[in-house]
Amino acid sequence: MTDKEILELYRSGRQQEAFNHIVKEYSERLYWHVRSLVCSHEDADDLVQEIFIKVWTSLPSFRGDAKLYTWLYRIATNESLNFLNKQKVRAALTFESLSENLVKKVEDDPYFNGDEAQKLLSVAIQNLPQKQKAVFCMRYYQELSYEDISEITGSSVGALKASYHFAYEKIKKELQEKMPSDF
Amino acid sequence: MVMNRNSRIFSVPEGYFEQLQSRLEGIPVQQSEPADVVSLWDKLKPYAALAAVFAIAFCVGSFIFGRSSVAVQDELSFQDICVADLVPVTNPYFIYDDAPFSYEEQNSVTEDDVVEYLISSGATVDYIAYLLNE
Repeated sequence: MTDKEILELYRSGRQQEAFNHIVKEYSERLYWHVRSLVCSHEDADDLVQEIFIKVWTSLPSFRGDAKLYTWLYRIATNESLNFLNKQKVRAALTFESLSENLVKKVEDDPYFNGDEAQKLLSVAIQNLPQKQKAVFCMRYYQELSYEDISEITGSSVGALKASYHFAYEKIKKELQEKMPSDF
Repeated sequence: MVMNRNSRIFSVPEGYFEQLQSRLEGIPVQQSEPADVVSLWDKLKPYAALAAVFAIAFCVGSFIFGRSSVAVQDELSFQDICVADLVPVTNPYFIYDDAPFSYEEQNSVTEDDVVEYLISSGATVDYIAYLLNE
């Protein structure tokens, strides 16, 4: 079912059915998007639940100016970044570092099945500033177009390209330091 | 199944997405359920607790301050006694007695007193009569 058909179904009064279609189409994609940002399966699971509650409560105010797909990604990205901000505050209060906590989560994650290089890549991504991380994850992991990312984040395509480039350079530098023989 | 770079490096528990989907599909039902009815007492409970705390603080405060002012009064009266002991007066009521005290009234010498004194000092009746008539 396309986004347009889902929205038509919703407007025809069959809201729950339309919502179930959104869940069917997007729950897995949004889970992976959130997971790439927050690392841990448990956190991603909780966040996806919260994101879909927000989707259900905000659907009546969705006017259809944006694509349903980018609207959902925007909610997911904002919720994930809010979650990371809260974690950052909590980490600051306990004199810990958020990136260190996220790195620890990657290293201790029982559901991580990448090799050593992929683990280092994940760790390097967790060390990026949050907005750069969101852009990098959407482009690299979700393979979204810059136009879609622009609609999700509200930034220009040029700014996104620059952000992705800076993120790429930082990750490359970190990987070169940790794996000098492979570069 | 959505295949992207994530799913190659991260994994999820078996059957997770089916379970997630059915859980998420239950959201509209959960959200439409009426929220638990909160009784008036439950609403007022925090305010009542706050009022009770203030009342207790007021009572404890007035009890403590009441006691300390009585102690100050006791101290003052003790101070009065100390001062009284230092002042060389023959009539201690001069200090202790709170009633208005007239020194003149207490120490005024009447004519009778003078006569009595003269008699006891051996003066003659004529001399006394002469003094009184002057």
